[in-house]
Amino acid sequence: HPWETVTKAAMQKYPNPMNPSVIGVDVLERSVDQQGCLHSKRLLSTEWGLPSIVKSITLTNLISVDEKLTYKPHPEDPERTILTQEAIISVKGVSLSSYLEGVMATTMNTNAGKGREALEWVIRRLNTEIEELAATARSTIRTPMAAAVTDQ
Amino acid sequence: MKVEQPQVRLSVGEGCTELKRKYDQCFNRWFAESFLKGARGAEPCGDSFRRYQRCVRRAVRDKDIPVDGLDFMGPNKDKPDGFTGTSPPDQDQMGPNQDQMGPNQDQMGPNQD
Repeated sequence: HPWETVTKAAMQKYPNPMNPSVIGVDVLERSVDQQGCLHSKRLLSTEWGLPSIVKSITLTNLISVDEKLTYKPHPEDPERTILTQEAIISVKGVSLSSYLEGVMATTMNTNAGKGREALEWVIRRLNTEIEELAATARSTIRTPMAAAVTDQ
Repeated sequence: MKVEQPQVRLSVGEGCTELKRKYDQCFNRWFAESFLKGARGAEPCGDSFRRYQRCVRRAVRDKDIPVDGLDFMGPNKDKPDGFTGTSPPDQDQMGPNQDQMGPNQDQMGPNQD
């Protein structure tokens, strides 16, 4: 999909059925800087349905995950977008066994796939809304009005 | 308009969902039709944003969610090669309802194979 399509979808990624744990998203800050870059600080509210042992580990902030997704237009194909996904997993005071590291890596890969599926879902939904709007417009706009609108 | 959406709260503040919807509608329209087409000005959604913000900030305060001073992998300062449009870096904070997870000073990278 072209970069514009992907970006529009990414801004409206939640909620979606592939990420049922994300139950809310809020914008905390937003601005356009002097270079024309849009900065958004958003808070995602999640409900993992965790068993209490995992919850207590989370509450003591033993593990943190910092993830960065970058969407860039494909340098050769305007119909495609390149997604680069990086994650830094930090553990406080404890060494992760290589088994747990492996589990983390696998989980991140699975989630990356879900993330792409989620965007596809959002893109389909946005396209459906556009088609439905267009269909409604076609059936209600009369010809003289349409001619006046296009005559700029 | 039929849109399939899972049943979710949508905003961290239960009473803010309607305000959020109004703001989102304004922002998404501006984003798609102005910003992505090269318009440089700020979004025209100031009023709806302020109302929505007041509500969200109150909810964040009431729920004791630490949203300030968190450090994340920053956006690229450079624009991608050959791309003359805008590149909007976006920083998302992920956090559970009870708590926010933040990165440590000493960071351990994931498996590099």
